[in-house]
Amino acid sequence: MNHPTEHEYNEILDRCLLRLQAGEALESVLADYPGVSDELRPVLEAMLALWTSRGSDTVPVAAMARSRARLMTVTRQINTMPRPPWWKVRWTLLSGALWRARGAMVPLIILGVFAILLFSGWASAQALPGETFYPVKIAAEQIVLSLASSPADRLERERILDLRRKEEVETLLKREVEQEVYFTGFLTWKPNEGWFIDEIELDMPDVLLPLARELEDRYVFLHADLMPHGKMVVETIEARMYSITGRVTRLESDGLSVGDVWLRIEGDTHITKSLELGQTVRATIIRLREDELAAMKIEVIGPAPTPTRRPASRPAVLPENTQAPQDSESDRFIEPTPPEKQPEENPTAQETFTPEKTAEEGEKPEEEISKTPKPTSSKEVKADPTPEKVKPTRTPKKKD
Amino acid sequence: MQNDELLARARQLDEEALAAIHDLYFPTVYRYVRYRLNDEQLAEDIAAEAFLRLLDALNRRSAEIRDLRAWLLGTTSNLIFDHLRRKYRRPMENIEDLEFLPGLDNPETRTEERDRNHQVRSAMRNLTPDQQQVLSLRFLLECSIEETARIMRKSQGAVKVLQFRALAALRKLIEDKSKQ
Repeated sequence: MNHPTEHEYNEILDRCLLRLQAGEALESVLADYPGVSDELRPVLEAMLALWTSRGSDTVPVAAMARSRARLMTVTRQINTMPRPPWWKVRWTLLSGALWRARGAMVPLIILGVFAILLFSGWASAQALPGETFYPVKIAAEQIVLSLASSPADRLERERILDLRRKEEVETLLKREVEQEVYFTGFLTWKPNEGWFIDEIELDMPDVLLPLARELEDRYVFLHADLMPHGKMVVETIEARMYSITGRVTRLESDGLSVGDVWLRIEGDTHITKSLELGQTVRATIIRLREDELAAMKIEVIGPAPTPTRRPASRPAVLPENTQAPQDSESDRFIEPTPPEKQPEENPTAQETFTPEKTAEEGEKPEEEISKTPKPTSSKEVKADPTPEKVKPTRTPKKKD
Repeated sequence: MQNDELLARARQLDEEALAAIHDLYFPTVYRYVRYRLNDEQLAEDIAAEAFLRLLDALNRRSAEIRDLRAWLLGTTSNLIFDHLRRKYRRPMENIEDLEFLPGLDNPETRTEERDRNHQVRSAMRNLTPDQQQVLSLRFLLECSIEETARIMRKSQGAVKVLQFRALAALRKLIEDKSKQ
């Protein structure tokens, strides 16, 4: 007879136990299972020993009476207490049910949260100013913006977002709704027609006309109230400025590259210090045209790194009477001089880029930056009188 | 009164129904505790506590009770476990100290059989709590496999395996003690 599996063995054991409990003799039971009787015997004997070790089956009557009395006392106390309100009872039932179902609830909750996120993401992408999910849309855009890999990438993303803002305004215009809006574009004056941001007609209050004339043909940031009849009443208008930080990678007479962004240097560009390659600078810039940027201010915030010296080489064998150069240990391996002031750089991207706005009319800006840079033919770069600095070349080279 | 009717009335905290339930199941619960802990006073206290827990569960409606006996024995097992853990403050695997609990000195059975019984119950206390519980339910209270599985919240197959291993371990312990 093949040795039974554990499952089969348990089945046999169970049958044997039932027969013993019914009063059958041990030998009689074992006789039916000769192949496994040697294994069964000790286990069945243990069971019999257990069974007989139960001792007395009597239960003290007094103990039972005392227990009953305790139970009745507490029951009466509960019954005389005022019943909880129906909503509390229902909450207890519901919370109990929820607790029992907690194992199944977790994946459901996770699924629910995911579905909500998906829906809100889809809903927010379609949202317009004034709608519930619009703040979610803006927040998501800011996250995407912060993930830009370079200043040029960041500028491009900003440009796309500016276009999106304009499209939202155009959609709202078609719907003829009343809504506060913010958007960006080139401010233009069309004679006999008025002020426009691209094809969007503006209602420019008289008080803003002087500023509007200064900002004509400039890339501006607008705050306006869209009226139901399609009129766009301007509340504020200002030049759209950006801030970019990075190393000077190219230097010309009429411009420089900060990271991978080419900036024109205008006559009114304010430069705090003579520029040189490798310096870390912070530039405040404006958009002259779709693909042309100009620096309003360039602030040097870190010097160019000092080039490393090669390790001092020594002859293998010194000729007689030759004194060895008095090189100190520290001179053999020279490390670059650390910059005097470390700029606060984004740990994920060396060059940062943040939009800035100029002060509104009537407010004095902290730094005197000309809001209306006029193109000049001057090619000189203004610099502090600091000697021994590299001057930019005179050959103009435009960045494509 | 039928059990279902008893339970339905007990849910309304009907005193008569609760008393009937108590008298019906108290002996079973009491014997179970006494066998496990070998202490009459503890058996009374824990058995009484089990019924108070039942009253609380019925009043709060926090537990869905379908089988009163299984529910009571399961609750009693938990109370026994809590008592042992509080009393000894050590992992339940090391329960040799239970051998020093006051034994049930039944003056009616002063024979070798009493010594043997004591030997078996002492050996049993060296089993794991689950093993003790399954043997107590199956062979003391004569619960079926199905009922035992319900009380212990295990599958019937698991109960059968546990029972087999418990009996084998018990047999070995008895043999070892006999040789000493």
